[in-house]
Formats: sequence, structure tokens, C-alpha cells
Amino acid sequence: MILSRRLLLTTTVALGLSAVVELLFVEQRHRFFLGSDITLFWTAFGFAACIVIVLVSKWFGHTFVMRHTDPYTGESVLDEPSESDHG
Amino acid sequence: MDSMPPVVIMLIAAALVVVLPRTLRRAVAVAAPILMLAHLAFFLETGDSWSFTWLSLDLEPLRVDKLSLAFGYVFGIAGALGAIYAWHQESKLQQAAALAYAGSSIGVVFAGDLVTLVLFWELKAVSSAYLVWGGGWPNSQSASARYLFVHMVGGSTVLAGVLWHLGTGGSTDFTLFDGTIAGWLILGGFAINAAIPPLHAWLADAYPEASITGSVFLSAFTTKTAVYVLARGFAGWEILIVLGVIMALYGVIFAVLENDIRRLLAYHIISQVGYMVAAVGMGTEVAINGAVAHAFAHVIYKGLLFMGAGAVIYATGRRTLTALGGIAGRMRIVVALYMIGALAISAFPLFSGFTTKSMIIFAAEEEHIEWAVALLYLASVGTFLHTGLKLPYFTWFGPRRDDIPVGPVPKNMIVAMIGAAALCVGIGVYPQLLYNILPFANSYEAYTAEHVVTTLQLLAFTAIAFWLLLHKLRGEATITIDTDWLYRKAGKPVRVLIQQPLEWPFTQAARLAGRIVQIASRISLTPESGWPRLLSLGGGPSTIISLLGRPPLGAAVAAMFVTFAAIVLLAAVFD
Repeated sequence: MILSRRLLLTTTVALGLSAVVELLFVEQRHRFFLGSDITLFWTAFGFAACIVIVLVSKWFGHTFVMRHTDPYTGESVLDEPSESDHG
Repeated sequence: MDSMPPVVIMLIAAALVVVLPRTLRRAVAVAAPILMLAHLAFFLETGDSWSFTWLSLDLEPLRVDKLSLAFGYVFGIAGALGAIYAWHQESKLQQAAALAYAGSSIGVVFAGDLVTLVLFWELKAVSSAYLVWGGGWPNSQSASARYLFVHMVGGSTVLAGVLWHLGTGGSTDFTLFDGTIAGWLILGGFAINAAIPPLHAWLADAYPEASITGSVFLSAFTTKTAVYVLARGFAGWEILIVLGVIMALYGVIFAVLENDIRRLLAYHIISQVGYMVAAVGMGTEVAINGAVAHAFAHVIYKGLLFMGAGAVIYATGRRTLTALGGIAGRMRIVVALYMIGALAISAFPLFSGFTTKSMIIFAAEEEHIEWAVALLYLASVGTFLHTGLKLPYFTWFGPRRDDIPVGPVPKNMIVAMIGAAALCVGIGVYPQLLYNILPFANSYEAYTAEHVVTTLQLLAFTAIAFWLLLHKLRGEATITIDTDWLYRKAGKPVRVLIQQPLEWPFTQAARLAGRIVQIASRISLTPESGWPRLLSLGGGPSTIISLLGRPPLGAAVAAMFVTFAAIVLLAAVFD
């Protein structure tokens, strides 16, 4: 993970702005599902969902479905497939 | 004029472009969908119909209502933008196939009876297969054979369902189905076109192998036609809510793994169509409105994303994330226009997805389907992550790379992208334009303070997490196996035992035709002009040989044969 100062600063500023804007402009919060009406819920949801999607998908891919050799031709997969006339 | 099916305009144009000279051909390809749109806007209105009886079947090639008109409008727009994008396309067969494909999709949308529907359904499969077949990539031909195979299985399943429906006393009228065997068979056929897992792999297999211009058309019509027929025939079937949510997540997971930019976008078609399928399953007025509105917006922004990806491939000759990056400075306009499509699909405020996708989630909230609400929000995080962040970052940004050659992008491509981008913004800023043409009166308001603020929070923190995990999202030079592995591995015995014997007469006929053209061109005083050239469709006498020599006809016939055999067996079991 790249925990740079810039990233931490951006996160802090974004979190602060989110809280201010939400408290100033959103009068009524709907409860779509358990917990979704808590202040700043959607910041945590976006952040956590993104991390879950990436980590779970990568684990699933590396464990089950990603291949460095083409299973249909037996050839190694290159960075870039051969070029062709593809108009 | 008020009883002429709009498909007629498109099919006449498709026939014309085969024989017209280049400039006229291009003009016809652009003019036909615009004329068709004018026909819809000025001559057709809700309630118009054209029906007749043929062989004791009640046929209705034209039935106009608000549902069909909404899809007709967006298919017309997609056809026109696609034709502008493909203005430079030299292959007249690609142009004809694109027009026939758009036309047959429009034919499906305005078909009031099941027989006409099946006819256009099959024409759509064959014409779209040519867009893949003529893609020009090493895998295009085999991918198109698999594409046609799957769609012939789907088409045959629909046909079998229709025959079953008619045989058990059902009418030809295309309306809501009940839970009979016929209904389930037809749903199965439609599910293939909608790319519902595990019947979805054809999409990510075929679309990246199509021509640059072909994939723009493909992204618009097949799956959205499926959304239309599901909305017409299966609204309120609750199983579709579950399947739709699975689609929304499935596409997101596989998009993380993808290296090929158009394959990544193809998985996101599955994800986005998942929202529409789930909405159809909910079946309420606001849900159906949401499905139609999101299909409308999706056709345009997804077309724009494929146009952007196509422009990169055209300019660089490269199609994978591992081979791209650091070229944004040389493709500024393309990047800017692509990003409008990316913000639209990510449901960013002021862009189209914000006003349409949320309508579906709102419908799920109204029905108190909390698990679906949570999972659809999860999928929308994945959408922004891939199409809004990962794809553009690794395609264009990162350390500058002068070793990647970047050629000019034709102006027509840029013009089409500007048109699509304008619509993405237009629908986002003034959604009433779209809401007015939805099947039911609209009760949904997208621009509330809560919706704007929570969406911005969600997207901002998705971007921060992306930044944190940047190193994990780099493209990897791998192939991802999907459910197509099952029939691709089983392909060899099928090819030897079924496809090749069935293909034999077609191959022989093609050889004979090629021989005749060769002899004729030798006899002709000007072999590269006159009728031999016309016969060879502009590519010299050898073209007809390559055209007919290895078409995926065998795959198509084999697919129909196998499907019918399976359904006859099924009938014997249940009868």
C-alpha cells in the first residue's frame, strides 16, 4: 500500500469537506439499509467497497481463472497480442 | 407512412450500401438511421399498428407503444452515431452488416407478434456475427463462430418456446408470459442475449475481437434488445432480480482481472445490463421506467466508451493495459470525451447515469429489497473503479511513454464521440427530456441534495481507495477463463462430428462460386471492373472465396441442429 503524505492529506480534506457539506445541505437522510443513514456512511462504503472488490476479485482471479498460458492454444500470453488489420 | 415498420428504411439502406460507390454509401449509412428517427418522430404514434394473417398466423410487424418508441429512438441515435464513427470504414460488408443489425434490432422492438420477433431475432444474430467475423484480429473468425453458435442456440430456444406456446393454444401476440414451459424456454433464449451468467461468456469473448467500428454497434443493440423483450414479456418475474444483481457484480469482478481494454468494457456491459434485468424483475412502474431510462443512457455512454477505446486502438494499434499508458498528452480530446462517458456510467452528478441508474436503485428501495440496494451500490463502486479510474489511468496516464506510436484519429470518430458526449451531458443536466418518453408517468426526482451529496461521497472515497491500491490494479498479461471454457474445450469433438459434416456442402459451394468468379474475371476484358468485381463485393475475385470459404455457417447450422435435438428430447420427456 502506498500511504503517502499526499494521500493522507487528500483523505483528511475530503472527509472534512464531506462532513461539512452533508451537515449543511442534507436535511433528511433516508435509511436504505442498516446503517446507511449514519453521517459520512457513504464515504466509508465507497472506500471499503472499493478495497473489497479489488482484493476479493484479485484473489478469485489468481486462484481460479487467470492463466499466463492460453488454455486454448497453449501459447504464452504476451503483453500485447499480435497486431492485425482491424479497421 | 403510419403503417410502415421503421426496419424497412434500415434494411433498404443495408442493401443499397452493398452496391453504391464509397461516398454515397457512407452518406446512406448515416442518413438511414436519421430518416428512421424522423419516421418515428413525425409519422408514428402510440397505438399505430400494421397486422395481417399469413398461413393462419396473426402477424403484426408494427406495433407502436411508449416502450417500443423509447427503444426505437435510442437505437436510431446509436445507429446514426455509429455510422458517423464508421464513416472511414472501407468494408462495405461491415457497413451493410451494421445497418442490417441495427435494423433487425429495431424490427424486434416494433414486432407485435412472436413470429416476426423470431425472424428479426435471427437476422440480428447473423448480421452482428459478421461485425465480429470481419474484425481483422487473429481470433476474430473463431470468436465469431462461437458467437454465432451461442446465438443460434439462443434463437433456436426462443423459436422452440414460441412453437411450444403456439402449439399449446397460445396466441402469436407478444405480451407477458406466464410460468409455462414455453415461457421458460423463451426466457432462456432471451437470457443468452441479455448475457445473464452463466450464459454470458459470448459477450466478453466476441466484442473485443470485432472491428473497432463493429464493437461500437455491438455494444448498443444485442443486450439492450434483450432488455426490451424481457421488459415486454417477463416484467415482474422475481428471479430476474437475483440474476440481475449477480450480473451487476459478476461484470465488476471480472473487469478487475482484465487487461484487454474492450474486454474490460464488455464485462461492464454485463454489469450495467444487470441493473436493467433486476429492474425488470421488480416489475413496478418506476422500475420499468428505470430499466428503459438506464438502457437509453447506457446505449449512448457505452457507445462513447467503446468509441474511446477504439480510437486508442486505431491510433496506437495496441489494445491491452500492459502495452499502453503515458500517452494522454497526445490524445487529449479522446481522453476528455472518454471521461465524459466514464462519468456518465459512474453516475456522476450532471451526467446521464446519475439520472437513470439511481431510478433503478430507488425502485428497489421502494420495494424494500434492501439486499439488492446494498449490492447494486457495491456494483456502482466497481463501475467507477474500472471505467472511470483503472482503464483511463493505465491507458493514458502514468509515466510518459514516447516509445508508443500515436497516429492521428479520423475526424469522423471525434465528431461521433462529441455527439455521444453531448447526449450524456444533456440527459444528465436535463433528464426531463428522457423522462418524457418513458413508458409510465415519472415520479422520480434525481436531483435531491441527499442524492447529490451521498453520490459524491461514494465516488470520492472510491477514488481514494483506488489511489491506495493503484499498484494492485495494474494490468496483468493473462487470459481469464470464463464459462466459455466449457464449450471451447468441448469444441473439437463438436467440430469434427457435427460442424464439419454440416459445413461440407457450404464449403464446396463456396469453392465452386470462387472458381466461377476466377474464370469469369479471366474472360472479362477488364477483370477488376464489371460484374466479377460486383460479385466479389469490391475486394477482387479472391474476396468471395475468403468471404464464403470459411464463414461460420457450419457453427450456426450445428448450433440449430443441437438445440432442436435437445428440445425435441425435452418435449418427448414432458409430453
